[in-house]
Amino acid sequence: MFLQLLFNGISLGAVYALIAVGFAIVFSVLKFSNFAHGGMISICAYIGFFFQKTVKPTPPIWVTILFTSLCGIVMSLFLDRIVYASIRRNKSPKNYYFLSSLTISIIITAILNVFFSKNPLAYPMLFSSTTFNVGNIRISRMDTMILIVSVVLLVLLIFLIDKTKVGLAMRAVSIDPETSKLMGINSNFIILMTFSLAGILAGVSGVLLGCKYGVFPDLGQSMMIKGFIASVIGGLGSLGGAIAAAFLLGIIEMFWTYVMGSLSTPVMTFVVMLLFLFIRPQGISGRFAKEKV
Amino acid sequence: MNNYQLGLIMNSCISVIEVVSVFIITSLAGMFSLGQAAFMTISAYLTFVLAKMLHLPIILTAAIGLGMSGLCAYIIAVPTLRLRKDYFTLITMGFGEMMASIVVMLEKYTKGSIGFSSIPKVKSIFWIIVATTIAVIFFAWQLKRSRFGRMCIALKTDETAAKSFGIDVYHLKIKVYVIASCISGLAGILYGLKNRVITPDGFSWNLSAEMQIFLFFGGTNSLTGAVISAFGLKLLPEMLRNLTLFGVNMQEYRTVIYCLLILLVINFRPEGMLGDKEMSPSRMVRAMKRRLKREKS
Amino acid sequence: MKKLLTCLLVLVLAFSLFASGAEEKSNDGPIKIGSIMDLTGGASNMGRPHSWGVEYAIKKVNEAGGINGRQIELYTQDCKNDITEGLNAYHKLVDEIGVCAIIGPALSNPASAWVDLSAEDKIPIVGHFMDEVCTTNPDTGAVYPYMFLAEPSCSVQSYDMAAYALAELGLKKYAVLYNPSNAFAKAHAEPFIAYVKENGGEVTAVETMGWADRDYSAQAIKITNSGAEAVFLCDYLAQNLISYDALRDAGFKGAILGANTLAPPLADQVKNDVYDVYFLQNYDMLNPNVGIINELVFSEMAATGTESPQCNVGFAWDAVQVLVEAMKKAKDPTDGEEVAKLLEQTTGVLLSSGDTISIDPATHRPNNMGMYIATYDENHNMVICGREDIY
Repeated sequence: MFLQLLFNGISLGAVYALIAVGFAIVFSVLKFSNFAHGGMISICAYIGFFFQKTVKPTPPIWVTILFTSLCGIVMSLFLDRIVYASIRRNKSPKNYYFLSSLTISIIITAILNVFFSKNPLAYPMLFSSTTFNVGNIRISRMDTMILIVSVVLLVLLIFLIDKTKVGLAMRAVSIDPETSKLMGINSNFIILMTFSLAGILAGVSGVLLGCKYGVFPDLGQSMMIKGFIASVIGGLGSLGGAIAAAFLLGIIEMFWTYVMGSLSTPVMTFVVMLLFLFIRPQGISGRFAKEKV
Repeated sequence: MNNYQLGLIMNSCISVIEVVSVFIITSLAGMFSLGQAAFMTISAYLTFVLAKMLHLPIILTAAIGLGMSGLCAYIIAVPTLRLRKDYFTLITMGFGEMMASIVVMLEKYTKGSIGFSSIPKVKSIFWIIVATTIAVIFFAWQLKRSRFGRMCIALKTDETAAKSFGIDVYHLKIKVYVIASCISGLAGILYGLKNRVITPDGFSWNLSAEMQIFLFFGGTNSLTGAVISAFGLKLLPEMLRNLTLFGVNMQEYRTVIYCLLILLVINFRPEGMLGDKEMSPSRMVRAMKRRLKREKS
Repeated sequence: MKKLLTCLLVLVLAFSLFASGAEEKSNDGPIKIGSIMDLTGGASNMGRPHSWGVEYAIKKVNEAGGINGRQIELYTQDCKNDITEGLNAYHKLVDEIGVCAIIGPALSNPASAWVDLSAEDKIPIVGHFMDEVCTTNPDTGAVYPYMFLAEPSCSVQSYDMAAYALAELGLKKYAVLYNPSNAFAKAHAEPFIAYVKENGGEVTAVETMGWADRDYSAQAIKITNSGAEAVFLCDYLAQNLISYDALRDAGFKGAILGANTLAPPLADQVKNDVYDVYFLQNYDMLNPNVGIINELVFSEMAATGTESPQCNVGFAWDAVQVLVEAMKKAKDPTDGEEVAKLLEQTTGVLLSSGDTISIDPATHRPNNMGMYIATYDENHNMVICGREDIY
């Protein structure tokens, strides 16, 4: 039983991690919580669904994921162009980013509701049998796929940020955009890069969440809060911290729900969040971007 | 005026009170809360549930409700306000989620998601709401002009400088948050008195987000801007109910339309409708005089 | 200058809003009827077919000569499954447009705010707000004089399901998985549990989830381990899909029972095999030989491009029939007081199901309507497998 819950918790954590990293990456560079990410996930889930439905012969799932990632990039850049770019140009305070992303997320849900509220949609079945047994644990094939895809993606992402020049530039911009500009880093490009990465994450998580839970207008929105909580516990903007916190949250939630029931889960997560901030305000990762004076 | 119009004015007034509370937090002290609806939940439920269970007059239970809002705000503020501002935003959001689930958990008293509907009818509710709104606006106006308000603005503009002037930033922030949360609680009680049914869904996260959006639409540092935009934007979706464009009734699109409008304002007039300016009779007379003078010359 | 113009524009808009007053009710012109539906918001997948159905039913009434020769004018307003929006819609219809009766939505939260208002304004409201708090006062049990329900209430429906499972399926141990934050689910789950306990069944587990939860595997494991033979699901379709897969993934082999939200397209959308699923149905929707429900459902699907049949069209038809019958009998169909009196005596009104309805004056809910129990065959088609008549 313990192992079964542990595995389920880990696979739930993988879902949270995908979402949490999508926020954390934007937060690490631009220092704002990108609420539009939830809406992007929902849109990508719909795009992936219609791509699978209209293209004949039905493309394999990885082609769909690639396609939606591309769409995610395009949409991210489009949003940046029409909304965030002017905020940057005006040098408005960070709150404006936050507020715009909030409005965008409301718009996206409203539009999806107008067009697709008829019924939830479901991706075609991927596996003929949905679970397999390892010892006496039942493992869902879908969960395994999500776990593998997200771990691979997250490892690639961390490699990109920690080991490549672009990653170095991203880290530099995240610490001080003005100075990094002086150092010859094209900080505008880095910001676009960040949004593209977030777009890819939205594309991938859209398809995976759509496969697992079905496609409906507030798919991404409703999962968003959990992603946020993970990124808070992990230390805002730290990718490694967010991933660790997401897995931790998934496991804790699974056991808590089993023992105490799900009604009190929001109370538990709130208390955990407060405790974490009390004991370790710098987040799990320990890297703490101090607020600048 | 008929009941429909009176109802719309009451909705707008309640929205004004909500936005004033957010104004105090964001514009005076530079914090960003996404959980103000939670305080509406606390005080509305406490007021009406206690009034029914203990047969107390609403005035008394409302005081308890408001006090509880303030107390909860204090409890949240103490640990979080020492941290980064972003943490504060997310904690308030988590708090909102928690309150909604607590209402469902205590369904024995609150009736859970079905809604608590044993709310007595109050006479001349319209005038009570209008008078409270005016009083709240007046209070915020005085607060902004007082020594307390000036300290807050100093803190918002430059926290380190404010500290070096000897302002106790931490305690000031706590006070601001407690005051604002009591005002939110007041809005919650009025909402309950007006609708006579309260559900946890009615005070959702969207409501908290809406308040912030209204505030920025009106102008981040302008109380009059915030009041006007809260009043007007609450009316806007109702105006769109009748609108028909290209043979399509706009009813279903009304949320989309008004969000687009808000994005446009943030994009092209980032400081909001009124920016930092306040609209007052004397200022308007002065502006008119200036304009006339310019036209003469 | 720009600012001045904006201010003016806002003022003009505001005045245009307040300029039009309520019109007087006239004695020979068209009869104005309002309809308040969830056109947007979380429940719009049910609200839209419902709204379509009201329009269709009113069109048919008008084609057949209207109410004693007078045509009906329909005014539809959106309530977004929200109390404030619902109140705005109500006041708009009653105070501004001047309707003399309202067809209500399928969800109860907005409707619960109209219970006293409708009595003050004398506006009869006929709808499908299934929760009993919309028709009778939960504290006193007194009936709300102007609120009428035109289908079995949530409680009755859950009793029917429980009775079928106890008697026909012969199951003894039950579990319930529902979202208590969803009023619709709560109003089904509690009567189900109560009925099972009273009638010799055993409830082995009551598990819950919240709006923000998407993974119910912990609940599913717990239910499977509790030894339940059947699980009752009563949320909206999106949650039911996840619940079904979570339960089957956890190795649950028993029966899955549920509200009418388990209806198609559920069978085509879940990932596990579909077997032993039993759910409530108001109508024998796919049978062209009873009533006109089949025709209604398929005209809606053709007109709006929906892929699965929606029973809400039938709800709309039924509510309109009940209201129109009462209005036809009235001396003055625009007199709310008289129409409400007549609604109270509703008997033998033919519904889309082919059956008739009579309304109990003591509860304002039907006292002769049972429910069908449906299941899926191996090709994922819905088939009616039983009928329960507990009211």
